[in-house]
Amino acid sequence: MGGVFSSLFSRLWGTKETRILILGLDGAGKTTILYRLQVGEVVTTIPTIGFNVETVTYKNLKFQVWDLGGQTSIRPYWRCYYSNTDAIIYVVDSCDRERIAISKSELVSMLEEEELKDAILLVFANKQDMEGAMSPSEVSTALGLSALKSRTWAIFKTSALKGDGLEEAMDWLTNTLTGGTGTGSS
Amino acid sequence: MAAKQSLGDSVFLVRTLEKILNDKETKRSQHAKLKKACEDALKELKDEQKELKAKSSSSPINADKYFLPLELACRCNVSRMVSTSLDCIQKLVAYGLLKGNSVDADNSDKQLIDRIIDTVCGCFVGVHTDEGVQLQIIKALLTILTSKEVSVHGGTVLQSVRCCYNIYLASRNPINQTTAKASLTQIISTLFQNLENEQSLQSMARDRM
Ligand SMILES: Nc1nc2c(ncn2[C@@H]2O[C@H](COP(=O)(O)OP(=O)(O)OP(=O)(O)O)[C@@H](O)[C@H]2O)c(=O)[nH]1
Ligand SMILES: [Mg+2]
Ligand SMILES: [Mg+2]
Ligand SMILES: [Mg+2]
Ligand SMILES: [Mg+2]
Repeated sequence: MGGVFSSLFSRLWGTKETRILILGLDGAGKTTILYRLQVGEVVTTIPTIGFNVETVTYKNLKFQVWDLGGQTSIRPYWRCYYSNTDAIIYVVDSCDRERIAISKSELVSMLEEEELKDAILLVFANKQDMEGAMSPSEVSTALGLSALKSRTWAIFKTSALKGDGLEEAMDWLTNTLTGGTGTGSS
Repeated sequence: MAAKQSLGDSVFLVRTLEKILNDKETKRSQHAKLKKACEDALKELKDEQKELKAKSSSSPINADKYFLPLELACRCNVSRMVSTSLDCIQKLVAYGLLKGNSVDADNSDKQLIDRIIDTVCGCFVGVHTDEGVQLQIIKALLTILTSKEVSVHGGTVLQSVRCCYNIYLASRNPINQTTAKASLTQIISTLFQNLENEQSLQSMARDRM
């Protein structure tokens, strides 16, 4: 209890930054989301090979947001970054029906990792601005989210390009971190 | 929609140099060289941008010739400016503007990339190095050593690996330790991959002879 309280306390007073990892397949929009969150604008991206990390301040809370590359050859390095992670933003390209099964299997093996057992999960059904995008409930079904046990999670429909949905997601995350409850959805 | 902002382009470099130039530390006399280098680079960059605009060319700049102010900022001992400069170096390399494939103007035996890596590694000054600076060093080294557009050779590779390893060993920040280890893992496997690709290319060439 003391632990929970003190970590909440240090969060509120800005001494501990919440660590968020943004993961997902290549091209899902992770880097675009990172800089949307940081500077509120769309930036030109290139495929991420190493990592990007930026400090994002949202409603007086400080987040250290990490964005890793999603290409097949780089995914094996994700696990090297899991320790000390408070929340995962898992980004899905809602138009990429062909690879949603791959996205699911990457998500499932990630969530099996001991180091992430307490991490909060936010799924972003991204690219909602595009014609033919899967709805959040389609994405949720395809990823098998309803089967998640003892995990605090939520799914949001987002468009990093337009900036839609990100605020709702960050609100939910800050509420959850500062004592809000439970499983939810957008 | 407004024109897309970019990271790691000439606008970004201009902003970084202005930020360094406007830092109150830069106004102090011991940083006169840094101040001058920022001013010179900014002037040249703006001229170059104008010229490109006049030719309505959108070709990206070559950031190699603007490395000096970034180097001096890395050596200025003010963590805030060191971090800013390292972040800029990493983004310029990631976006392919800083390649370091020219001869080092100060030492014709070396390539600029050797000086870039020496500058980055030189920001780690032991256990007491600012934790934000440590992270920016790791981030920059990972990007440089995994970039397809930059080639790093021999002793400079070792220097980079050693630097990451030293941060892993010396850092008291668990996240920096984790990150140093992750980056080393990726760097080393990339190095071997490149080596194996080269060898298979060579043997293919040999088979053809
Ligand atoms: N239409 C649309 N395009 C998007 C959206 N988010 C990102 N994109 C585009 O998708 C492409 C890939 O975006 P990135 O942010 O680079 O993808 P990433 O997940 O970081 O990719 P890797 O670094 O390779 O793992 C870019 O062209 C983005 O502009 C969105 O919400 N809608
Ligand atoms: Mg890619
Ligand atoms: Mg990316
Ligand atoms: Mg940064
Ligand atoms: Mg996907």
